[in-house]
Amino acid sequence: MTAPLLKVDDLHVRIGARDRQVHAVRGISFEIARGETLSIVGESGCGKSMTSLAVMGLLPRTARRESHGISIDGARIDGLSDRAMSDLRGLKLAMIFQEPMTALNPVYTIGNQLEEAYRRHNPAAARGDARARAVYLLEKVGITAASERLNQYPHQLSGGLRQRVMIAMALMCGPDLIIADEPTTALDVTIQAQILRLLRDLQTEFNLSILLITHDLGIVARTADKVAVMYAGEFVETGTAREVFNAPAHPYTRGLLAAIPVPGKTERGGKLAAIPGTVPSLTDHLEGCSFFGRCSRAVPDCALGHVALTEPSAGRAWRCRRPYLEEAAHQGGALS
Amino acid sequence: MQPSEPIPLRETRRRGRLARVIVERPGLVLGMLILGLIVLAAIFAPYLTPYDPYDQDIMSRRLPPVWNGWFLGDPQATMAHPFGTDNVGRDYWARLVYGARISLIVGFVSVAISGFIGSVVGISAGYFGGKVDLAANFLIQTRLAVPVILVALAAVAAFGGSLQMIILIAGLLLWDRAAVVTRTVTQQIAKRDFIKAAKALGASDLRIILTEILPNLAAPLAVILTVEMGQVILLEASLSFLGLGIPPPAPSWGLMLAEAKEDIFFAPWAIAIPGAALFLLVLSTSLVGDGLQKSRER
Amino acid sequence: MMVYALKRAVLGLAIMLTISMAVFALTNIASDPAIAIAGEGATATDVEAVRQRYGFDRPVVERYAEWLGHAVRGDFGMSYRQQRPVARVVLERFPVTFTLACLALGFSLALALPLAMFAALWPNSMIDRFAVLTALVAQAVPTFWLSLLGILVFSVELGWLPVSGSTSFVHYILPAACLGFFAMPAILRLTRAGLLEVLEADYIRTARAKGLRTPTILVKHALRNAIIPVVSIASVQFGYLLSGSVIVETIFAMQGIGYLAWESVSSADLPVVQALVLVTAFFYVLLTLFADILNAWLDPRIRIA
Repeated sequence: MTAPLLKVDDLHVRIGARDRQVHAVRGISFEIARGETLSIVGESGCGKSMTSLAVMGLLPRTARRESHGISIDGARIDGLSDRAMSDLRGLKLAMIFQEPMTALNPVYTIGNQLEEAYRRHNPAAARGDARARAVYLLEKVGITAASERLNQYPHQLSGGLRQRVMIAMALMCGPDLIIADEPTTALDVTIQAQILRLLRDLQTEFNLSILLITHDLGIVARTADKVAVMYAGEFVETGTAREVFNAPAHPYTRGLLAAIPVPGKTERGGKLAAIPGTVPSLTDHLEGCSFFGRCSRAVPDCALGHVALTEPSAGRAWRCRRPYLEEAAHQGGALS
Repeated sequence: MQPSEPIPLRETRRRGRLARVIVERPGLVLGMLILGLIVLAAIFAPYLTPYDPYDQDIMSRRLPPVWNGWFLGDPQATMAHPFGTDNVGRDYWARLVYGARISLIVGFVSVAISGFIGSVVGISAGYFGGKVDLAANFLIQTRLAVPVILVALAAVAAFGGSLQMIILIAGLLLWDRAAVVTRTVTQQIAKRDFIKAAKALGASDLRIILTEILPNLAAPLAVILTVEMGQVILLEASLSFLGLGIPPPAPSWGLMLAEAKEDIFFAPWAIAIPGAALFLLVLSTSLVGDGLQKSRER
Repeated sequence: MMVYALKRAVLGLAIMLTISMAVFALTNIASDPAIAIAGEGATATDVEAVRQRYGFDRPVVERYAEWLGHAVRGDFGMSYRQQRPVARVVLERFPVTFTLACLALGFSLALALPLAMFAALWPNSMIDRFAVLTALVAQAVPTFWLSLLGILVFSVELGWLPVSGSTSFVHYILPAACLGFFAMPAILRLTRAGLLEVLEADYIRTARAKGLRTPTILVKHALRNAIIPVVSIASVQFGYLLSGSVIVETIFAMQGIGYLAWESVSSADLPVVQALVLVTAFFYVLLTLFADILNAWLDPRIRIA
């Protein structure tokens, strides 16, 4: 394996003032190699969006980031000033957001907003270059009549088209890493599939690394090389997509998988498995396993101490004292 | 759920509730305090001063307030008239506390009228929508285009100035904000499922408005009317100041300022005192309105 | 865009028509103008003579139609008090008020906009608290009290500024500041709220994700969107300043339409009062129309519907 493009070591994010602090991200570490997709999966509120914003340096004002290092291409970026960081954003790493309807500025044309990204990092470039690049990328993301689209305003485009524009915008300066935070959640199912296929094609073509944030395991199965399951601010299971899907070790991962309807297997009209309970509040110090209250396999010991990560091989890990081992995912109904 | 949470913490939280409100909403508390004091002063005015606000005393005209004696060594200042006297020797403190009655009555009653008109317009617009909404919107737009002070002046000139007339004019003119707010809130509520369910069950429109919508309107209406009350009080004072509001010799604060204006070179305190009272009263309504609004948002 | 502008113009016309009816009703039905003209101490025959001379004995609808027809052509009749055409009386007073309102609006914008901008940039900072407090206090200060205090301090004590009149620029400073202070809190509050909303918007985060620098983001992405509500507020406030000038002009004895309004109301000069209410309402309608069209032009979502 070559040196990772993105390396995050022990990232913490805390939000809010001291007395009502939320410890949203609690020491996560991961690596993404060039051309690889890592998907962070979890329920809303588990800290996955905060993770992506922390890497971009775009956390809200009230949030604070701490880590033992975030580096891109071997260069540390966690100590950079916002100004120095802005030199990298768009150029080395770019982001696609969840809401294509509001992520574009309503008062400027698509072309203006695309070219602006290019000219920011290529100040010497002629106006024509930026325009040519915009047309080229709009065609790449599958938008027809690209040069006419440049003069249109966001409200004149459909949601799917806008998300394509967002993807083209992220690619304007040829970044190495794309962070996609729920890129298809706000879109229709048919459009979702198109956008995901597009992302995969672009990844191969430009050798992109992708950090995909989603709550939808179906998307993960279709796109990710590696998976990290996040729960209550921590990774509870990591591994290759194959490992996590075929042999989930953590009861939470199993619960997520059991909640996906499988055509032919899931009884029509039957109840889908749901995980009882809700995510614990992240305001306090958590004692014991964070999944304790919702876990069917829990034993009293699980409520004590901090559960350490078990790492049998590089990249494969789980945070559980009573993991499912050597059991196939869809055999037992332990959680239903 | 969280065994690690220390239990005694809750107890202290509950006990410190009033303290927390004071710390978190200092504006609301301060506003309520000022407003409360002024209301009490207006109610108990006869017990707060031995003087009649209309009694003239030519022997003690334009006496300075007592603090002028303390800080400036003014020999005329006397504890007998703590806030001094005006140009015909009426006790300024007596006029101030009795004047609070005028401001508060104008404020409360006008706001009741404008709140009622605004709610009728706003609720029908928000609830029925369509053409009713268009008509209400036109009414609001028209009302906004009417120059308030000018029309109020003209109305006083045509019908004569009196407390009742001022209240009526202010109430009939300043209902626009209440209408806008009730319209928006009603629109939001009318969209919800429980209203649709009530309709489907055959409840009459009036019943739905009275039982489902009105209770939800109370809080936002209270906020807007509190702030509006301050503006009505200012309008009355302005009209009286211009000589086209409450007729003299009533102790309206605006009128006191108009009378003091003539003595601006000799008795500047006569301008400072009623103006400051007016300022504090209007400020307290703003503080309370803002505080209530913020509490609602949380 | 044209359709939108046309719709707004028709609405404005309808509003003006409604107000003209109300004004006419207020001055002709609710009160008897003949009694007002004949003055105190007039006998019944005097009043009757006035009534016939001015044509008050004809049907109301007929009189309204005639009055409106004249008013549209700028003919508001004769001033009872000055025995001159109302239009000329109003017109010669207009420049003073217009200057005063412009200066006042400039004053309040110069105060409110920077304060609102810094407050929105650093929410909950000292400057934000200061801005919120300023708005609260300014909203509660009665304009006429502020004017008197201003005279007390700057004219009586310091002797820097004249007490009254409208003959030179110096005369405008204090009145414009007092009037502007009255318009300031609304502009401050709404601009701050608008900017806060814009700065929280998703497209600002997108701009940051592109690597744009903070000044670029503020000027190009935030201000352009935040200016839209400010234009509306400023024009509405300008309309209020025209009518709010009554108090300030009366105190400072400035020969504008506000002072004229007070004089005319005090002496029951109804044609002038009618004209003033109509003209101010007309300006308000015109200003909001202008603001709406300007906003439509600034906002492509309305421009290209």
